[in-house]
Amino acid sequence: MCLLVFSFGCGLGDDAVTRDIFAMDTLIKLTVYGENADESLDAAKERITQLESAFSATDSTSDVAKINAGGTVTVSDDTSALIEQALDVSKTYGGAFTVAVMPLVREWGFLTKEYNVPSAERLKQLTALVKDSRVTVSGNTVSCSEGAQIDLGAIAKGYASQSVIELLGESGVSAAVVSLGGNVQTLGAKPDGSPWSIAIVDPLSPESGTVGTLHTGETAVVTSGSYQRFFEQDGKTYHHIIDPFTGTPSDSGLLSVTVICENGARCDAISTALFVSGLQKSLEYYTQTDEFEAVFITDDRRVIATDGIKDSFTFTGGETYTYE
Amino acid sequence: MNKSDTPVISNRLLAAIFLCVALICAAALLLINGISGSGCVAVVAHDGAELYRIDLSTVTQEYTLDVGGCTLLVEHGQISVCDSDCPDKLCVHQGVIENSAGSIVCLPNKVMIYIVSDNPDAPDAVVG
Repeated sequence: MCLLVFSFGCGLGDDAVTRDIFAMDTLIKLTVYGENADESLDAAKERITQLESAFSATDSTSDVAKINAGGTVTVSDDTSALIEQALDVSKTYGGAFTVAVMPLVREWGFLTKEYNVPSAERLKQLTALVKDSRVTVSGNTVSCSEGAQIDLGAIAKGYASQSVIELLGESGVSAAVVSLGGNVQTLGAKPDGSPWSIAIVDPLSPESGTVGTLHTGETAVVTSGSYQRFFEQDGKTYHHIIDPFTGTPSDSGLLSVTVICENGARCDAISTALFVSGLQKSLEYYTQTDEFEAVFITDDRRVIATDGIKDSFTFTGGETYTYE
Repeated sequence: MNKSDTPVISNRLLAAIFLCVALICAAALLLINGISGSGCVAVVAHDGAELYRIDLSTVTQEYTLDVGGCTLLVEHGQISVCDSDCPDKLCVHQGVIENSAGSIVCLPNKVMIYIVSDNPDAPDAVVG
């Protein structure tokens, strides 16, 4: 459900038109340059609404809710394409990101915000259900084997940003930047010729601090961080990125990982996979896959940028972190 | 004092006056910027409508605003949600925001607060 839409100028230049939308459980900011700005933004809003109604885990009429209710379900082209992409990312990154994680997300209460710390025995039962092999896609039909359920929360925003960028590009907009919570994606080049500047939030001071700025061309940039959603119980903090192997919030030594790659949906899913995998395994994936760049922030206060992005990253977090 | 000393004293006097004027101007500029020129404006929106634009640098005394079930605390240079009737109170836990890197969103109450900056060095987007 789209909750809020309005327009305003915001320091991105006189010719920039910006619109904000509450949707997909986050704040979405769209900024476009060039002709047909208002019409393009209207179309983008409509597209986001369409995707949200298909991917929502809480709307009983969504494709995801129907799949999770059981049986073989006919879904939209977007939903089948997105699940296939999710399964592919999972395969590439050793299952550290999986679309089948819903039983754990639900048990911890991140779906309803009625939080709960499950017992070890319960987690053992649920992790047995969290397997990609329990999700089958064939054309536009999807089914989950008994007990299995899907959650698109770690890839849907990236798919939406990719879709909106493609739509804006087709509608004659010369340049755009789309921000869906932790997901940013750019189109074209800024009118003044300068690269897009995308700041990375400081996970130890997320309300106002940043650790540096990426200077990019047309790309997707997504951050996964333990500070984004969490709850506290008995003095302990539990964040929302669940390790599918242990069933518990990931404890890989990372506070956040920011991924830069071409496709928004893959970028979104990869950021979760790398966060769960930890720094060393992620650097192995970096070498093996050759599909992303990344900036890692570790819990021992190190900021590590991969080789391909070092020249495009300005580190400003020297008071808190060391930069490698 | 002879005639040849006079121009030297006058030049020194002029230099001192120039220095004083320059210092006064610099202090005035700093004062003006400190009071109203930092370009730190908080935008508060509720349910589809922008309600307030608040130049946080001009706030001399803190005050509260009630917006859609959230109570906002407006202070010099920063803004926060100090209370909310939403179930998870994530908006309250987000603490204060003071520059364009931060935003506060209360989804249950449809309240959004963020800061716009006229700083040319402000990033195009913030990821995180």
